[in-house]
Amino acid sequence: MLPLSYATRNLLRDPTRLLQKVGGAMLVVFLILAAGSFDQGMQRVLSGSGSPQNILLVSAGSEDSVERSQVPPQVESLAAAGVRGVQTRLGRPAVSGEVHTMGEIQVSGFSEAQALLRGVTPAAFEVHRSVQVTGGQFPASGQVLVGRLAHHTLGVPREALQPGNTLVFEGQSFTVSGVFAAPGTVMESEVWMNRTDLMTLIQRETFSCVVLRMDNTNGLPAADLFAKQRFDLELSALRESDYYERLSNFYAPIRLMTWITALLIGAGAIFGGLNMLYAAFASRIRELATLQAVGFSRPALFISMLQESLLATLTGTLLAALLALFLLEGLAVDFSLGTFYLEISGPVALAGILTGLLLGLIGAIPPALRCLRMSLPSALRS
Amino acid sequence: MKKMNTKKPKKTGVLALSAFVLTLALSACGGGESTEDTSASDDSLESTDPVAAFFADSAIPESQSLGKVLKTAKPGETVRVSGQIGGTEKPFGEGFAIFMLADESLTFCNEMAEPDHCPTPWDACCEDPQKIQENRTVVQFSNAAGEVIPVNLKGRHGLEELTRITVEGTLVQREQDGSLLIEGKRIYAPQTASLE
Repeated sequence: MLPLSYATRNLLRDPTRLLQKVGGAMLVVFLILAAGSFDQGMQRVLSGSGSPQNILLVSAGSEDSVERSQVPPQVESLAAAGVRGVQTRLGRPAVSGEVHTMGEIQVSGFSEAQALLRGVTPAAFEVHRSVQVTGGQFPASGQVLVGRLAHHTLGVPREALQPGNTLVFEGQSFTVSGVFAAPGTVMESEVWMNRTDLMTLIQRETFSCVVLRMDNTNGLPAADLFAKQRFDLELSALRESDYYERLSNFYAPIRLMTWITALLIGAGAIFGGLNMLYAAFASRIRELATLQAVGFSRPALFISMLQESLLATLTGTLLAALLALFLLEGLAVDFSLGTFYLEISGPVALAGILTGLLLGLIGAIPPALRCLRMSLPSALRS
Repeated sequence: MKKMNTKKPKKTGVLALSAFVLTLALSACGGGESTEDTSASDDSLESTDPVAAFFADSAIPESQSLGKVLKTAKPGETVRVSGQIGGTEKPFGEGFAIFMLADESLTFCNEMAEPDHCPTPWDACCEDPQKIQENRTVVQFSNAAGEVIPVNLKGRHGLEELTRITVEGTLVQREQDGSLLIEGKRIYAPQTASLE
């Protein structure tokens, strides 16, 4: 076998070429890490937003968008009485009738931005157990409770949405009564307000949904039975987790596009790298033939050429990983439903490393084989 | 230079591969016994099927269209209706013996020139909503205690969406809202009975 120092020495022979290879690998791996963290981040926030123990009662045909749903207000009390297995606390059933709507909100000194508003009553905390008020209190009439990441969605500094500040919705001024956290869910990007206030402002007489918290994760049949028996209400029952999974599938084409973009750029880099290595190895055919003549086998030379390529691409991979940790890790990304954080998780990091490996292998194997295939006398004479 | 004897390792590899293939073949043969076991357990399942007693072997006589019965019959009467399972996107209950029955006068997507127009072929989305409301109801099957039996009827005894069936039962008016539904006693599905 040829020593590793031979490969490293060859790499340093042409610093420009080395920089190109390392830089190219770094960019491709960084793209893969970005695509992976985007995909994982979006999927994680959507899958974490819904509880399998919660059942949504929405109007039939609106299973893909709660905002389009129109549920008669009496369903809240009918479901509390008519659905078996609804959890109760201190004798009160965990049932929350809610209004969901997208609206333009303006924080003073900043331009208008769209956010999801949720009209709730205190019962919302009985069904959304991951929600915790971290500062302030539940909103009374004329007040709003903002999610911890709502400032991202609205494009304002965090300080602009602290308790005591005001924002404007539908021409009405509302005071921020508090801030809530709901880690890993899209609710953190929402603005919650008194349900009656919201229904009055948007001139709505129906709820968007009624959320039931069941005793366990097998509560769907009982809720569906209620919906079937009360077919006059035109209701559909589905698990909250299934609802967000449907939303996740809705965004699947976007997530796929990020991967396709990264892979196309990666393919371009591979072909570029192939070109470069064809030229680099071709100029060393006689050198390689000489090494064969003095006794080194073709497999040994092949491995040395692979080492050379892998050293460059894995160096690029390491630099990409460091760049990703500084630039991507923890970066907040807004989308229509809320905000999620990019995270370089284990699988994402592994994808990056594998990409670097593949770049090194695929980029080197064809040119190496081409160089070594020539007969020894021809190669020595080249 | 002494040549390495490569034949011995090759022989061992072939033997190992043959043993592996033989093992696979023997385990596949063993699947026949398990099929018989499964069919035996299927028979026992059928005998403990909580809704089997509701399925009739022969046609229910003197049945009328569901739409006509809903307009003319009184709550508490025994009714015999014919219809199709459908009239909504999910006609079957998720885990209870209940389904939506629609009058055959409703036009379903598979009967139209554009079968893919609606989310599902059986939801009749192109029909007038008022006509749908007046020509459909739920049929439920309860146990002796009056509780709806906790089994999903979809796929049982061949019941699927758009299956044409005849049901005999009691027309019940819900106190809470006045809506009519049928408490089923017997159900007959002509095409599935012929298969059985």
